[in-house]
Formats: sequence, C-alpha cells, structure tokens
Amino acid sequence: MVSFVARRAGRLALTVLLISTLVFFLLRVLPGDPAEVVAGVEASEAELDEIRTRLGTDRPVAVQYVNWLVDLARLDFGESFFSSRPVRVLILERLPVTLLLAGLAFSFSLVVAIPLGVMSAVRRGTLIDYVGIVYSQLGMAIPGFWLGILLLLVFSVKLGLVPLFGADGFAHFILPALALGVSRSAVLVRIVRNSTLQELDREYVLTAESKGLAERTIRYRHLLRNALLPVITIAGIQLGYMLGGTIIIEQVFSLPGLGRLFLSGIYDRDFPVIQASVIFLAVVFSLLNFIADVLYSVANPRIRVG
Amino acid sequence: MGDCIVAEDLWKTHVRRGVFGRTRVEALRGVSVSVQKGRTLGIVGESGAGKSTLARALLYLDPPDRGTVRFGEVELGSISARRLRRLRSRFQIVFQDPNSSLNPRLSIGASIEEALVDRIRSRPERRDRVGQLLAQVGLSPDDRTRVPHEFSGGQRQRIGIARALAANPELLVLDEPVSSLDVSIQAQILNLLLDLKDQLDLTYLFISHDLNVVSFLSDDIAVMTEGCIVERGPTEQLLRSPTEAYTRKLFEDTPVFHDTRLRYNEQWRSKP
Amino acid sequence: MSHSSENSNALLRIIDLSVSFGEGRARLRAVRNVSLDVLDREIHALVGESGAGKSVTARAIPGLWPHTAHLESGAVYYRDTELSSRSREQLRSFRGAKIGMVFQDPGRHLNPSLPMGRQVSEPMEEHLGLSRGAARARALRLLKLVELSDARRVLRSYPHELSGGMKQRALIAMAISCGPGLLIADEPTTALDATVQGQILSLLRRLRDQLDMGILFVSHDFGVVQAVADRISVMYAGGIVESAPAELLFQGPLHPYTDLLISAIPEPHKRGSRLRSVPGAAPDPRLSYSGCPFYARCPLARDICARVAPPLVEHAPGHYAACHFADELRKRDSVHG
Repeated sequence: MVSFVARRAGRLALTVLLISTLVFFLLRVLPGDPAEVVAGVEASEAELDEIRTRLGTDRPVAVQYVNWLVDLARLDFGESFFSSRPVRVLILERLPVTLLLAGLAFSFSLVVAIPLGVMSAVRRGTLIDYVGIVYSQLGMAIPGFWLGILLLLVFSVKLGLVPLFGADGFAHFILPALALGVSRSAVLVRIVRNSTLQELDREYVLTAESKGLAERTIRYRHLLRNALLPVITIAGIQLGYMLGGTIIIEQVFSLPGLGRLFLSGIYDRDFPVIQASVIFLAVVFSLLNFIADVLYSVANPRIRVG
Repeated sequence: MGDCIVAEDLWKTHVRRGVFGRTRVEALRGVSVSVQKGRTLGIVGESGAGKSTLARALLYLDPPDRGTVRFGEVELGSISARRLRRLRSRFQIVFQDPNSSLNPRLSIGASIEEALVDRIRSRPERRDRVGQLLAQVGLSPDDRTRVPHEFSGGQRQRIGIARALAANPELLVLDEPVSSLDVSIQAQILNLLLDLKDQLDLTYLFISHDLNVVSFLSDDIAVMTEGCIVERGPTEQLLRSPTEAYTRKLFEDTPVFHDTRLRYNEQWRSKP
Repeated sequence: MSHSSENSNALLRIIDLSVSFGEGRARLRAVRNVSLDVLDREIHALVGESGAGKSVTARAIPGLWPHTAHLESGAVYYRDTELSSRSREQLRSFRGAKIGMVFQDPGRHLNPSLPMGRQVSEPMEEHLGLSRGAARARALRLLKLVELSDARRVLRSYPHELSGGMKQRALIAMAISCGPGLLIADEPTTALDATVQGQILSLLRRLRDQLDMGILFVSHDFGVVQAVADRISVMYAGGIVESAPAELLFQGPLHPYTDLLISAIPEPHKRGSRLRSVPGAAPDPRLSYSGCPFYARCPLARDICARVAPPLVEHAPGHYAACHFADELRKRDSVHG
C-alpha cells in the first residue's frame, strides 16, 4: 500500500511539473503582453516598461521559469498581475462555489444514473428501460451550456421559480448543477446499464437463484456490488470532467467560481492566475483518479492492495 | 531406432505482471525428455504442471531459458532464426482449440495453402495438395472454400491437423487435441491420428490431462507435475506399477473409465 | 412408460418433460419427453454428449430453465409436490431448502466480491430463519463437513483466494446447508483437476450416506459416472435412450448408442487397434422426426426405426432401453458374456 501511494504521488508530481511547464511556455509564446492589459491602451512605452519590470516579464523566459519553479516548490503561486492579490487567496475565495457546484452536479448524476441504469437493465425492454435509453441519448446529445440557457429561460425567466443570477443561496446552484450533471449522468446511465446487463448473465446469479434467494436480495446483495465496480473508476474521472465543465457553466450562470477566475485570467493575460488554475485542476484530477482507484481496490477484493 | 527429439535440462520461468507487482512462476524445472522416431510419447499431468510450456519450449515457439533441444542432429538453440524457420516444417503442433491457428476470415483451403507456399511453387499443384490433405483427414476436397465457423468442433480439429501435415512434418506435437470434443467425435479424431501415424511414419508427442486418452494412444508415458517429469515408462508398465508417490496418487484419484466388458481380457495382459 | 411407474415412493419424479427454446421454425426442442425417477439416497447419473439436454433437464426441476426456454409438457414431482406448474418465484422455497444445486465451474458460480462466509450462510438465513450469527456458526460446521481443513479461514476468504477444489467444496457446503432431500450436481467435477475430481466424487458419496440425500448427477464423462453412480440414464438428442443400474449398463448396454459410446472411450485395454466410433453427428434439435433419433447413425437400423420412435421399455429388471432391437443386443452380450 505504501509503495502504491508513493508511486502514485511520484506520478502526480511529474504530471504537475510537465503540465505547468507546458502552460508556462505556451503562455509566453502566445501573443498578448500582460503589461498592455494592466496599463490600458493609452499607456506610454515607459509606463509599459515599468510595469514589465514590476511584473517580472522583462526578464529572460528561462529566468522567469526558474523563479517560478522555486516559488512553486514553496507553494507560492505568486500574485495576480491584475489585482496584485496573492493567487492562492483568489483561488481559495472562489473554491467553495466551484466545489459546491461540482459536488451537487456529481451527486445528481449518481442519484439519477445508478437507479435508472440498474432498473433499465433488470427490466430490460420495458418502459423504464426505454426511459433510460432515451435519457442517456438525449443527455449525451445536448451540450451543457445550451441546457443551462434553456433551464434559465424556463425556470427563472418564465416561471420565476429560481433566482436568475447570484451565488448567495443554495437555490442559485440548482439549475447550474442540473446543466452540468445531466450530460455526465447520461453517460453513466449507459455504463451502469451495460455493466448490470453483463453481471446478470454471470453464473453466480444462477447460484444465488438456486439458493432460493429473493429477487431483491440477489439484486442488491449480489448483483449491484459487482455491477457498480466499474462505475467507481468512471465516476472518479467524471468528477474531474465536471470540474472542467464548471468553467462554461459558471459563465452561463454568472457564478463567481474558479472557472470564471480562470477565464478572466485568460482574457487579462494574468499568467500567475492561469498557471495556478491549471495546476490546481491537474492536481484535483489526479487526486480524484487516485481516490477512485483506492475505492475500487477496497470494493473489489480481487485486487485489494497488499 | 534413433531419437527424433531430445531435450535436456529445460528450465523456463514465466513472469506475470499484475496490478501491484510481478510474480514469477517456474513452469519448467529441469525437464529432460526424448521421443524415439516412430513412437508416441504421452505427457500427462494436471493443469499448471507445465505440459504446454514444455511443448512450446521443445519446438522453440517459446524458447527455454536454459537447456538444450536437439531435433535429429540439429540443436535448436544454436541455429539462426532463418534456419529455425526452415526447420519448423519438420515439427508441427496441433492445439486444443484449432481456431487459434486458423484465420476465421480465410477459407480453410487458403489457410492450408499458406503453409505450402514455400515448398510448392506452382499454384495448381498446391491446390491438388490441399485437396489431398483434406481427404487425408477425412474431409472433402470441396470443403476448401468454406470458412472455419461453418465446421463442427471435430471437423475443425481435422482442419488443424491437415494444416499441420501440410509441411510434411516428422514430429507432431499434439497439445490436448481432443479435450474439448465429445466422446464420439473424440474417438473419430483418435482413430484418424492412429491412421496418419501409420501412413506417414509420424512421431507423436501427445499432451493431455486425460488418462484414458493418453494411455490409449501412447507407447510411453511421462508424468509431469510442478514443472518436472517425475516418472516415465512404457504405458503398460507404468499403469500397472507406478513407483512415484505422485503417479500413484494421480492414477488412484483420477476417475478413469474402464470398459468392464474388457476387464478380463487376458490377451492384453500377456502382451509384452 | 419408464421405470417411474413402479417406484411410487420416488424422491424426484419427472414425467414426460419437454422443454424447448424459441418459436415456430426456429423452435429448438432441447428436452423431449423425458421421464425419470431419483430414489431416496440414490445417485442417479444423467449422462450424454453435449447438446443432449442433460443440463436443461436438470435445471428445469427447480424451475431454473433459462428465461428463453419454455416448458411444453410434463410434470415434476418432488415427493408429493408437483413443481412444474409453479412459478419461478413460487419454487423459491424449494430451491436451496429442499433441492440444492452444485455447478460445473465453481469459480464462476461464486460471487467474487462476497466473502465465503456470507455466501454459505445465506440460504440458512433465508430458509431456516437463522440469525446471522447462528447461520455463520452452522456454516463453519458445514465447511468442516465437506473436509475443508482450515474452515475458519475459508469463512473469511473471498473465492479468488481458494483453489478450485476448495471452491467446489464450499459450493457443496452451500448447497447442502439446509439439508435438502435432493442434490442436483451439474458436471460438478468437469472444471477440476484430475486428482481433485476423485476427492469430490468420494465426498459426494459420503455426504449422500451421511445426509440421506438423493443426487441427480449430470455428466458427460463416463469415467466420472462409473465412479459415482448407482443408476445411469443415457440421454441422446433430448431424450433418454437407456436407463439401468450402473453395473448392468456397463456390462451389457441395450441401446446401440450406449454400446457404441462405451466402445468409443479410449483406454489402455483398447490399445493397438482403432476405436469403434459413432459415425455422423446428432440430429439437428430443430428438426422434428417421427422415428428413432439415432436411426441415421445406428448399425442395427431397419425400416421400422425410421417410422416409429421406440418407447423406453423395460427389457430386464430395472433395465430400460428405447430400441426396437434391444433384445438382439442382449443376446449378443450374453454370448460374449
């Protein structure tokens, strides 16, 4: 177990290093001078130079890179070019909004997908199976942002059931979570259904039947346990995707989360913000995968970690 | 008669990569074995004993880590890959699942013809030979255009044998060739193997876990367990008086069928 | 009718059972008018080649035919209770309680993600109303009964941590946990190593004696059947062609199919010559025919065989065969004696 964790931690560090290096150089290669954004269009060349010196973008790229790496090793992400506030603080401020959104969307996705997928498989060919198939087809076909706008129009503008913008109450998160969760749960319904169908044909189900167990017992004690194994891994990856998906959904619903921070960072050529956001996402993504793998090995006795 | 194939002190370790590390399995631990020309050596043992690994090591399909294999006068480990490839035509293998050696999309005629390309230049001659081979294994030459899945399990095994025979081998290694077949079909294939051996002067190395089958077909039997051959002898003698503890256990615990109508057949008992 | 009519005190009685798959042209008749009895404490082997209908017959007894199959006719009695007219759900109280089942590949037939203890105790909680603790205590005793040496450890293990033989023993423990009168064993040794096979067979015989069970033993392997069975019924193309006490069957089979099949099994006594083999292949199960199903392959076949299906008739005490010319085989055997 220790070596397993160590190996994964090493892989994570390597991933972060690679990604951050890539982003760092990509930002410097792309057109657009942060100083111009900070100073505004009417700034003189002298003013720009002064700002460049302040931001440190006048130094050779290699020097900037080394400095940045040294800071990174101390978990110092630097200051925003634009607001001059520490990036760490900016991220921590925005984090709760994004976590709540992704968490809600994820829970919604699981709560819908698991029962629907299982029932769809167990009652194959009936109405519920049809509902499951249609839901997963539609859900995968509809883009999240479009669904978000549609939901806003119907529930906020027309019906007035849910507040339009803002992030101060739980109610503000319902529609964005739906918009984010539907497409993911649509994929999941399919996976749960297939996995359950596969398990239904396994011989141990026949054994359970030959023991005279009730259908419900067979379904919940025997079948589900095995059918949901692959779902653990996939759900972990999906949660990662959802965090990525928040970027667009936060934009649609004007939620002040990490996604908007990231996006405005890109508009403003705010290098430290962009770099930190990417690293943050990469770390979270890897961590989620790691957690999913550990959960999988706990749930699956065949590969339990020694 | 001389030896057809001689193996000395074969060792082979398989390394299996798992999710959390690798495990090493010693599949062959110093196996020495030889088959005389024109005879049938049966190798019997339980699953995991190393029978199939031995077969693959003998034919250098999966060369041993250590040890030597001599086929006729040639030591297989000492020759070039090219020469080994050419030599391959003289020893062929038939697997339990003939599908593994037949391309499902290719007609069986084409599959067999493939094995003939190097030796027979002219196409019509090759065709004739394919027809001849199919007839030899009890199929119709007209079957050549059909694909493997159109055949039954027994017929597919016949095709597998025909393909192995295409190269005019001296030695056939038969790795559980009848294990997945029903009794009535199994008997047909065993009869075919007996006939072919007589007609073509073949030498057989016959691998099976089935004591009934091995003891019917083999002149000599070698008992394998845990990567070693623990006992070897002429079939009748070994069956009647095994000396090793494992052999005795294998013979006693394995449910073997006896045709009770033949139980007192003294004619067999008095045979040398 | 078969021998079933005489033994009214049978543990299991199958009368004229027919099971088919599919409809119309594609209708596949897997089991055709099968009748057989399993007596108390009898090991009755159902033997035949693949596709003969053995497993479908065995699974039909506790209502576990595949969902795609349907029962065309017939009745199944467990002691005095008729089973075939009951639904799968209604038969639940019989399965595991009065009729236990053991299958071919114990690895696949155990739930990979439940500890063995749970799986063995389950039927006792379900049918005997035992608490978890009581069921577990009994499971421990059962595992010892099936000669698992380290029963306590097995209880905590997952299937993949056990060898094939151990898994099959645990599966047997599970099947006998509620003291069933009938055990259905469907190729229970086929997936096991040769030496383990013998051990499992003697375990089954011992349990039969100790627990007073009847066993319906399905197998394709005559060696296994010879080692374990009291009575043997041979199936061919969905029907029973011969049924006799084991010794009688092997000494003098009265159906040409049985005769040929036994001759076709290789063994050292038959070395040096070709085996007698059954020519051709079994008929397509989708076909319907009026005559004997073995007609096309039979060395004794005559005109009548193509037209009239021979019924299963008692030719000697306890020895039934479905052949118009069974008596010819009997005479021949007595000559060879």
